Amino acid sequence: MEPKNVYLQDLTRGLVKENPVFVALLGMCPLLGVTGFLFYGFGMGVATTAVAFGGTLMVSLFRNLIPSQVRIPIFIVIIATLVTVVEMSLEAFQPELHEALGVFVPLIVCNCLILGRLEAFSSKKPVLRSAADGIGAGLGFTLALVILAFVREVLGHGSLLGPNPDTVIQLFGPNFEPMTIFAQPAGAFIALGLLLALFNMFTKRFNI
Amino acid sequence: MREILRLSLILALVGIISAALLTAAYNVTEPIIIERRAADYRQALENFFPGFASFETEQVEEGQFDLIYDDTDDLMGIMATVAVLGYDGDITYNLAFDDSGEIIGINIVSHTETPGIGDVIERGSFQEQFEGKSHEDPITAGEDVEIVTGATVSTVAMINSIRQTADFVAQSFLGIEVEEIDFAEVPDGTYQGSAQGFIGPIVVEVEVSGGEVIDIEVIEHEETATYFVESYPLIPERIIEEQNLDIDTQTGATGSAEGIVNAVENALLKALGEDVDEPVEEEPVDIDLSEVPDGTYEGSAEGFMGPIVVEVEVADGEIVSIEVLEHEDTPEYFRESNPLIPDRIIDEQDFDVDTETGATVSAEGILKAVLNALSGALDNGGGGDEN
Repeated sequence: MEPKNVYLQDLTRGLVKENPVFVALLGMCPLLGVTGFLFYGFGMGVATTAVAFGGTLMVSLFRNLIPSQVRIPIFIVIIATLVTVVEMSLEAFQPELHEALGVFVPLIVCNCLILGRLEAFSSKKPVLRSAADGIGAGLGFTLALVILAFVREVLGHGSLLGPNPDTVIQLFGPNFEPMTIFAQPAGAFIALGLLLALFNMFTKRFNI
Repeated sequence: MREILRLSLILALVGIISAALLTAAYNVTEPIIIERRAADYRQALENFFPGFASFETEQVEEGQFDLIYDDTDDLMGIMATVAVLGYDGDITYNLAFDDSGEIIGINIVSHTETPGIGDVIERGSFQEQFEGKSHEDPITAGEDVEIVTGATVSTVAMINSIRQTADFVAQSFLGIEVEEIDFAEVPDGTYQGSAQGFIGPIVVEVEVSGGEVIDIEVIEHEETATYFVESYPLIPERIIEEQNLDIDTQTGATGSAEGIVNAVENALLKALGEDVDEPVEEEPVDIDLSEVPDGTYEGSAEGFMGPIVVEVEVADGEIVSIEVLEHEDTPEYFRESNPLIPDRIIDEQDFDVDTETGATVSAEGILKAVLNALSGALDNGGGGDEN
């Protein structure tokens, strides 16, 4: 296999074949918590991708220096540091998003998707491949968040790009009665279940 | 041992690097965050005090208080920034008062309450109930403001904090004397006072000696015993210990606790010769059953959630049946009182029945509805059968 293909493979693996949400069912907490609006879901995905990228990069850079007995606490410190940096940056530059995501930003620390990539991949593989893997996993997560948030915002609010009144697009006109259930956490579960079923149907049919 | 040392050193090193990174990030972002918060704060000020010109900040133990002036240097009002411990960490909020101490509005600055539960404090429906309230209002859960079920801790914390802040602002910045009883002025003696508790009036006897309250006894109450123990004798003890009525009334029976405090306050105010507003003792209703003509009568009274309608059948000067036709109370609780209370009334042929059940308020409602039905029968000139 060409080396170039390896990177591409690392990058794309997380998108569909090993999608952290649709296949591994990781990171359910933010997935269900912040996908009420497309903008929030996308923001959460980008924040998580940034942490995943930083974490995989750091861990694979120092993988030979990290003693295996204490690797988990070191991973956690690295992730927590990155998350705090991301949180401070969000508060400074994206206050609206920071407010909306609230406690789910610090909770990225315990998103097992990230720790999982560090433990399973970055601690053993070279830097570039790890970085590609981190970005790929983050993008896969973002993809899932965006799809779920899209479904929930359209069904639950009848809008897109809300709730900011400057960008919001009302899709169905004033007489539309949104299915409020999809704006609620219970609706997130229902929507996720349906999406999982669809995803499995497609992957089976096309043998991805 | 060497191995442990090596690992500890590596962990410490990771910690130090992480701290250095965080410091760097903090230094970059903090000025921006502060600036943004200041801008947000100015925006909040502008919302509450349109056209304000300047403000003067006073930092005290209770929080930060900004005195807001217009361009002619007249005081427009006060913006308080206070923090209160909610369910999960501090809730920081702004409370805007006009120059008479009335609340203009609330702005939640930050909180870490549970999303979907404790964050109801951000909702307009919760915040709006405080607008127009001032130190003159009770600002008490269940009286003039409502808690949000499911988020009791968060909302009660906010309500109490808002009340204290309103009193503090009135007293400290607006020069309004919030009426407080000076125990030292109360002559020695034993005084009685009453106030509304959670269910019915609470009557207390307060003993004052040497300018101090030395004993408080509840001599009458209608509260549910299992809850009342949460507030009594705890609340009297707190008052005696602090020699002050401004005590923490948050107990397992806050309604009763507030009732006790208000009853003590009324007793002391009466001792000082002031007029007090006491709950009117309900007149004992005395219906002579033998005067009620035979027939079936309908009556209603307020239950726990809504009106209770009963049908009472009287024959030969005796109540022969009582049927609840309508009620809106929770069925699981209501059945604790129905048919128990009707049975008791029919058994005793008297209205002085014990209404303490698993659903006391419903029980009282049934009793009152029966009384209303019968007194209605008498008022109609004993006119006869409604059927």
